Parts: sequence; structure tokens; C-alpha cells
Amino acid sequence: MKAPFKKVMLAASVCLAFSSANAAVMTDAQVVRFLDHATYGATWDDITPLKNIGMNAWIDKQVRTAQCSHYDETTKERFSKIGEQMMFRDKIWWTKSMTCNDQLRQRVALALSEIFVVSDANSGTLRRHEDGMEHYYDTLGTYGFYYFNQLLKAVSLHPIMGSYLNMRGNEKASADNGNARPDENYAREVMQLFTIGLVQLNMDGTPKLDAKGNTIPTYSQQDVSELARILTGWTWHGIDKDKWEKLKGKIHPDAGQDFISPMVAVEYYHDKGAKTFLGKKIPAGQTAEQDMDQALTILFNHPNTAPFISKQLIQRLVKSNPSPAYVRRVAQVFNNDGNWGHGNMVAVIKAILTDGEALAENDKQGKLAEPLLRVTQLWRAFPVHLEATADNPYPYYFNGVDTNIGQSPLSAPSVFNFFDPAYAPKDLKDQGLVAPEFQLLDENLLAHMDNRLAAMALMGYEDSGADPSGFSGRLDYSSYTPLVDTPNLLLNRLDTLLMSGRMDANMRGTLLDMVNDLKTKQHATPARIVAEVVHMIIISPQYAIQW
Amino acid sequence: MKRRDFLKQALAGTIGMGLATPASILGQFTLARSAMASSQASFTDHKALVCIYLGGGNDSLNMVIPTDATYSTYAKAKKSLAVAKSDLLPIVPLRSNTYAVGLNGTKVDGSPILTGMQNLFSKKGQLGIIANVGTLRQPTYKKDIGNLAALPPQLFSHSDQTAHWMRGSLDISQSSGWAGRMADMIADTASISMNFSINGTNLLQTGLTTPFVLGNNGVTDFTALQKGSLRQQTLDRLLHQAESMNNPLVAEYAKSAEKIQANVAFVKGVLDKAPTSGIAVPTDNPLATQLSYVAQLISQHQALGQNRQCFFVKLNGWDTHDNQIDEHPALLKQLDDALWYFYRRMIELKKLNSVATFTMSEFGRTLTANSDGTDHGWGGHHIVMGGAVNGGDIYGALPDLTLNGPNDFGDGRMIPTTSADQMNATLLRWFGLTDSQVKELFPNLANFNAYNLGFMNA
Repeated sequence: MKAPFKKVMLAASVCLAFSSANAAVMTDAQVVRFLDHATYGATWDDITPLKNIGMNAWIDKQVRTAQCSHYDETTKERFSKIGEQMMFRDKIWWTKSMTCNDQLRQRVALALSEIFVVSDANSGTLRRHEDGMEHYYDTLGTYGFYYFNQLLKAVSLHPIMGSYLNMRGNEKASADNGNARPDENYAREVMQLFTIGLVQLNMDGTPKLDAKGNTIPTYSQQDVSELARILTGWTWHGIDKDKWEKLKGKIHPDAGQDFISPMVAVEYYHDKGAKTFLGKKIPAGQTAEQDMDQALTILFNHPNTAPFISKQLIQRLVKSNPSPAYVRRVAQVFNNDGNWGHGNMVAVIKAILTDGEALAENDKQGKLAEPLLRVTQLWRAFPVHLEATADNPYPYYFNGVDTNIGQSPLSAPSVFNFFDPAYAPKDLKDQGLVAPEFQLLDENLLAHMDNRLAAMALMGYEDSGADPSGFSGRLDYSSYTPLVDTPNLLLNRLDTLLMSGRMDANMRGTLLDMVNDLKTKQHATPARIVAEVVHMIIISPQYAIQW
Repeated sequence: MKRRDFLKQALAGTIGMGLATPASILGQFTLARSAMASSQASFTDHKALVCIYLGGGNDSLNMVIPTDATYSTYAKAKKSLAVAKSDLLPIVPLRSNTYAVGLNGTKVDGSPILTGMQNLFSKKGQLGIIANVGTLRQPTYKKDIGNLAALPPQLFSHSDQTAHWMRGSLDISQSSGWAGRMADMIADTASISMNFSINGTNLLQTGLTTPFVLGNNGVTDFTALQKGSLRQQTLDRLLHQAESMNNPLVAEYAKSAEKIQANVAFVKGVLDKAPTSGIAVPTDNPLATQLSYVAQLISQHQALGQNRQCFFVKLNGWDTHDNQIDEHPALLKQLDDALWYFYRRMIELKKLNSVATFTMSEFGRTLTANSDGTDHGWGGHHIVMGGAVNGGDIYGALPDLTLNGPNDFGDGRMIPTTSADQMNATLLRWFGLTDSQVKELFPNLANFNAYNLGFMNA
């Protein structure tokens, strides 16, 4: 684990395309825009330090910052009920996302968790092992700064992924064990979702077309079957052939198993025959690990992987519709970080965040901020300080069935995540655009989202005075209330921190009218006025779409 | 050009123009909407379709199972996952169909599952089975499976096969589903789509409009935005300003938010007046909960101004690669309980004959087992329930379950003998669409002889 990390350090200092951006000092709004891509939300405290050192040095510093771990051994035995464990994992996520200093790593972990999806939403096994889920998330955070092939192997061998997509316990076909065929689930999804995708791609992420103008499949059912054979023989750490056999009759074979250590191979159950995978020969007689390494290398080296992964990371961090040129620039870094390093994730992340297209303010597209980010950005902007105690070590909380905002970390409806990277409402699709997060914009979820945002922004400042349930922290407006008599200054500050300077004259005019109305007709208190203005901003389309 | 089409284009043009003269455009909007609504007058009776989506791919070869000598063919392939012969609930179709079958009657919590379906099929005649249905471009036989151009793209992939079922075509560039395009065709109510989803947005119900989406708690109001309040007035201004901005995502969000707020207020108001039911919703059954909202919306179709309604509900978890012996019967039980509940609700509302409920699932699963589960297949059996169903019968040919036999793509992935489009077209003919409308929605129907399978009575 140590050696590749050192290499990452080296690669991270490589000069990248947009280094000139560091020469000029960034404006506050530019810094906020960058931080909205790279963290869980900008704070005033972040702005000056970043300005001083520039984006590239900030990223390097973030890479060196110690990882804030979600997995907490002490919590393993704490809860007996499954629902409590899920809630606890959630509280850890919110607390870490709000308070950890390794913001870039945490943000990348979320992005990766929406590509390498595991979910306890429909899996009893995963719900029984929330500590393993926390550890899986940490694995994404750790390997998110390694090389892609290392990330892919760590994900593939994690017992949580093993359970979710059924590589754990995957046996060779055999007349002895009555098994007609190895399980194909992981074999299929590791190709379709985690590496090469369904159709052949150009380096810029656009599909290759045949002479008739049709897309070209990347793999066949035969490749899936062969890869399923390659990926046989893996199980939980601590299981041998005898135990494997005994586990087969159990209703909950996962009970008491190790969901932290990487899976191990039991060679008896590995299909040792020769295989042909994506046109390449895999010889007979290899171990389970040799076979896996060879197959993952084939996927890693496949020409689709660089554009497929690069484009999705751009979509998760920066914008829904990157230009083909932007995808190509990032994919090229994926294939060669400048030191001939292939799949250097730090270099890829840096290429994404510092690209001219990510920084350009004349590009009016961006993306709809996903529900989780709309909450974290708000909490960080108006910093809520909650003290951890022995009874409540993870004080930040936001969820509950009745407060559903359409998203909870590691709880997507299926392996296809909360939204499809190709999803678009009809009018946008007609313009050739996608907008994945719009899949969560419907009558049910918008009402829930707006109600939660209203509760966060308004409650406690209205007549009721009561803190609402479902989240733990009230926004702090104290540094804004003195500005109520100079509403333009108030809006300047909110525009910078919440909207990275995107508030146009029309919007400003509307909000100024509101402030005026509140003051003159309703004689509202300064705190109430700030709360009402913030509420309007955060439910507005101008804010929700971040560009 | 038909009048409605003209209005639709005029309306689309209006939106594209931005907000130069808001008042006059709003006037045109209202005019266009009411004109579209009037075309629904062609239906004087009420009918509803309810799609139950079984997400992940139902192993329906373990739902409808041979009971005669063919059982040994099934059991030989299914191995440890085979349902014991003694656990099968016999059903007797009106017409014999290849081999005798029964329903999975595995015991969960001491009682056999699928007794509701058995009852509805055999005693009530309210349930029919459509055998071995799947996505198809044309009639497809074993000799064709090497010819990619003849097959639906990306067989065995969840996302692609789901989309094929929902689109009603194999044109992957098409961004609408057949229920969405149907809503466009028969231009439903003035304010909201005829399509409702109780489980998020979906391709099936997306056309020029998207479905109205309810959550697990029904319709949720915008609690902080009272009509006429300063907040609502301010938000309205912000939305109008956003709609004319040159960022297409901002404009789209604004347009959606505006529509959603209006729709929520309207539907919430209507549902608050829905009668209470004397039939308890089965507990711990998300599918039944979703169907309870469907029943409410059906009961209020007049207040909603809808003579035609289409609903989408969904139960996930059917992707049983592992631990199938435990998980699949539990899912089937949920389905069975939910169907029986909904059947009783429809009797209560006196809507049995005007509501057809059907299953959809991206694919069946392999007849063969991978140790303790099954993998992605192709054809699968589906069910249709309702008073208008010619129930108690099996439609289409039951597949030959011989491994490597004439229906086997490989590993017991059944080559469908009936296309999804045929099944769905049959439902839509009953629903009131014309031959030509159905052909327009399902272009590949032209490759098949029959596009009305006869399981719905006229």
C-alpha cells in the first residue's frame, strides 16, 4: 500500500493544463465555484487560504491530509437493531462530511460511491453489516487517490461488493456441486458500470459508430460467461473449503463473517480451465487471484475505460454535459499522467477540477446539485457547530423516512445509482443534453426537498420557535444580520458564498423587493429577514443549478 | 393537420418564445390546454391500467411450474432451486396449453404463497397468464440467436431490457415510453398527465409530459409556500426570471418546479376528498401501500377529470443471483398479497371491470441455477388481472424447458415466444386505442401476425 502512494505524490506535482489559473489570484466567487466542485461546500474560512496557495497546491495539500475514517470499530457492537445501524452509518456520514478536513477525499468518495454502487436499500445482508458499509466507503476514499487498477481490485475484493453483486461464494460449474454455471452478476456489472460500459467509445466519450451509424457493443454474453468463470472461488476472509460447503445450507451465511478484510480465494471452487475474455486468452491452471488480476488488467487497459470513467467523474463533480474536448483532456491524463503513470486518480481529479471548462464562468450549464450536496453546502455555509459527546459521537443528522429527499449515502434503489448518467427530461434531451440529477425532480421529491430546506432555513426564526425534527443543526446567520440595513451588501455576501457570483440583476431585484416588503410591511426582525432571503435563494432554480 | 396537433405545436412554440409578454402568453397557454383537454371527450367510460414493475427480473419460471411429466425436465434444470412438486398449487386453464402447470405454493410463515393468484385464476376467472413474454424485434427462433441485428440490443442487461419493455420499440435514441406517447395521443386532462407513478420518474410514462409522482406517503404539500404569500410571490418571480435565462438547465428546473407546484396543489386537494376504505392495507408490503394510492386516484378519476388513467408501481429485489430459495418466495408472497388486496379494493370501488393490472419485468431468469441463485434470462411469464380479463387461461405458448432445447438461448435463458409489444398492445386495444394508434406506438408489431392476444374482452 505504501509504494503506490509515494508514486501518487510524485505524479500529483506534475504540471497540468490549467496551471496558468494559479498565476492570477482568484476572486472569492471563483474560489467558491472551485470548492463547490471539490468539497461538500464552501465556507468563508476556506477562501483566503486557497487564494494564497492556488488550486493545484490546495489539491496536493488535500491529498496529503490524513484520511477521516467512517469505519469505527467501537460502534460495531453498539446497536442490535438493523434500523439503528443504518441510522448510525448515516450520522457518521453527515458528521464526517460536515467536519472532516480531508474534504476533497470525502467528496471523491461520494462520487465513486455513485459509480461503484453498493446499497443497503434492498439488501438484508448489507443492512446486517453496516460496519462493512462504512469500511467500503473508506476504501473508496483511500483508493480514490491511488491508481484506478488498484481501486478496481480493492472494490472487487471488498466483502460488501462481494455480497452486493454476488461474487462472494461464486463457484465453478461442476457436476459434483450441482452448479450449472458460475454467477454472472459481478462479471456483467463490473464491465457495464465500473469500467468499459456497453458500447465502444472514442477518447472524447462519444460512441463509436459502425458503417450503418449504429453503436458497437463492447462485449458479448460469451464474455460475461467467461468472466464469471474467471471470477470464481472468492469468499470471506477466514473461510476454507469445509466451511464454504457448510455455509451453503445456511439461511444467513453472512452472520458473523468478516465484512472488513478483503475476500480470499478457495482454489477448490475456482474454475481452473482456460478462458477467452474480450479476445484475450487466459491460460488454464492459474490461481483465482492470477485470473482476476489478468481480467482486471484487460479491463483497465481497454480503450473505453479512460473516457468512460473520466466522463462520469466530471459529471459527478463538475457538470452534466462536459464538452467532448474536456472529456478527452481528462481521459488523456487517465491514460498518462505525464510520467507515464496510467490511471493515476489524483492526476485525473486534478485534471477535472482545474480544467478551463470547470472554471469558466461563461459556460452556462453546470449541473443540478444532488440532494445531499444541497444540504451539506447549506450547513457548511452557515456553519453549524455541534459538539460530539460520549453518548452522541456523531451529532450531525439528517434523514428519516418522512423526510425523504431522494438520496441517502450508499442507499440507492439499485446498482444503477440514484440517477442514470444519460437521463434527461424531454426538452433537454431534444437539445442533446443530459441532466442525471433531474431524475430526482418530481412532485414527491421536490416537495420533500423544498420542505426540508424551508425547515432548515426558516424554523427557529419564525413564530413557532421550535426546531423541526429530522435534522440536528440550525443555521447560523449571526454574521449576516448586521447587513440587513444594507441589503445590497447582504446579497453580495450571499451571492458569493451560496451562488459563486451567479445572481443576476433580475434575481437581485426580486430579492431586494422582498427585503423591502419584509421591513416596511411586516416589520420583520433582521434574523427573520436573513432567513427569508436565504430560503428564497436555496429553493430557486438559479441556486439549484450550479455552474 | 389535426386540430389537436396544431395546438400542441402552438403550445410548444409558446414555451420556446420565452416570456416576452407574460399575460398574453399565459392566456394562450390556458386556451391551448383546455382545447387539448376537450379531445378526451371521445372516451365516455372510465378505464385504468396498472403496471406492477418487478424490478431486477422475476424468476417467473419459478412462479408458473409444470405439474405433469414435464416437471422432471424443470426439476433437472432447476436443481436445488426447484419447487417441490408437493408445493405446487394446481391451476386448470380453460384450454390446455402444452403441459399442465401449477403456481409456486412454497410455504412462507407456514402458509403457501400464491393462493390469491390461484383463487383469482381458477375460481374467479379474474387472472390470466401470458406465457414466455420478452423483448423481441420479430419472431425469433434458436437459429436466429447468432444474428445480432435480429435481436433486441443488449440482451440480459437490466437497464437496456427495462427500457425496451417501456419504450415499446427498440430504437434506443427514443426518449419516450409507450404510456407517455399514448398520453400524448389521447391528450388527457387539462392540468395533469393521465400517468401516475408511485415510484419515481420512469421511461414508460414519459412522453411530452412526465407522470405525476406520489411518494410512499402519498402527495406531500409545499408546507412553507402558502398561496398568495410573500414567499410564493417572490418565488413565482424567481421562477419566471429563471425560465428566460440562457442556461437550459435553469430554465428546465424552473419550468418543472412551476408545473410541480400547481400539480401538487390540485391532486392533493382532490385526494383529500377520497373516501376511506374498509379494507386494511397489508402491513410491511410496500407494493400494497403503493396500490392503496392507486385505488384512491381511481376513486377520484372524475374530480381529476380523467376517463383514462395509467399507473406505475414497483417492487425491487427480484434480481435473485443469491439466496433465491429464501428471497424469491418472500417477494412472490408480497406480490400475491398486494394483488389480492387490490382486487378487493376494486370490488369495493365497483371498478373491477374497468381496471386492468399487469406485471412487467425486464427479463425472466435462467432455468439453471448458479449454486444458490439464477442469472439474467430473457422470456418470462406475466400476469394480467381484472374483470375485463378473459381469466383462467394461459395465453401464448409455454416454453419447452429442455436445456439446449428449441427455446433455450443457453443456460435456460428462454427465447420469448410472445413479444412484450404484443402483450402491451393487447392491453391498449382494450383501453380504447385504435389499430393504427397501437401500430404507431409499437412499430415492431408489424413483424408479428397477431397483435391482439385476446386476453382482454372487448
